[in-house]
Amino acid sequence: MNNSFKELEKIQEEQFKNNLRNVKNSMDGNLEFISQFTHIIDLYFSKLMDLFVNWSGGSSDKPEK
Amino acid sequence: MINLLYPLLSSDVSKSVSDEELVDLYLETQNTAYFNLLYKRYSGKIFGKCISLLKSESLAEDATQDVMMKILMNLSKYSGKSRFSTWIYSITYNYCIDFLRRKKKDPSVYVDDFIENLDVEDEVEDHLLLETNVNRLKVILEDIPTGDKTILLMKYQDEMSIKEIGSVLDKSESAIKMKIKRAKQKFRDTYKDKYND
Repeated sequence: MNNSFKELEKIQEEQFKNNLRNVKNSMDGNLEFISQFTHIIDLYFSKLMDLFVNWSGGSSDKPEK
Repeated sequence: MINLLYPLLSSDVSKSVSDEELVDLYLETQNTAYFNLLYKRYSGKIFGKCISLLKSESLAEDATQDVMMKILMNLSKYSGKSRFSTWIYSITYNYCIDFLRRKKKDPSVYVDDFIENLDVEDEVEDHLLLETNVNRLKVILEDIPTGDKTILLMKYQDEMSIKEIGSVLDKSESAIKMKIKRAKQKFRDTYKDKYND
């Protein structure tokens, strides 16, 4: 049996290709930002923690046995 | 800049791998190429549903982006109990319904059934809807209330079962049957008004 609903879905996919390009660009930007942000956190989080520990009077050095 | 959405996989691979396998591969490797294939398969369909329900290209763009991000962030929660398509369409419909509720653009979306106890025997046959001319179908879908449109899209475009629709809309199966019947009648009445057939 013919299914006009499926046909309509295909037509819409073709019709709105430009909009999907906008969505893709925007998602690219968001994912790139998240990726960079995560990278920065990975790099600097441990250093920030050390700094915080030093400020609070502790030491990041391992105790000597 | 690294293009995160379109790294390439060969088209042979992309066609032969199922959605569920792509989800597993993405979760195992975190390689965005696998998610990109899911994006390619479904972004157009998601956009189509969003524009049908929200009736604005810019809102549909934002909604598609939000839904795709939601899918990406929640892939690990996909249990595989339902088809992947059903899972992402349920996210899409719920997103659009929530949006419309918040904006109160269409109160029909959240009107509960008051006719649940009526006879649920179908009067409008499926083939009348399925064989409607596409241009006319588009016009009628734009004209009927969002709640009716949503349920018709779920049943005839996404081929969801009554049980699946019930779980998306959090309604009993008998309530869904009633909603489908009412939506079909609304479709037929609108068609008659517009085209005198």
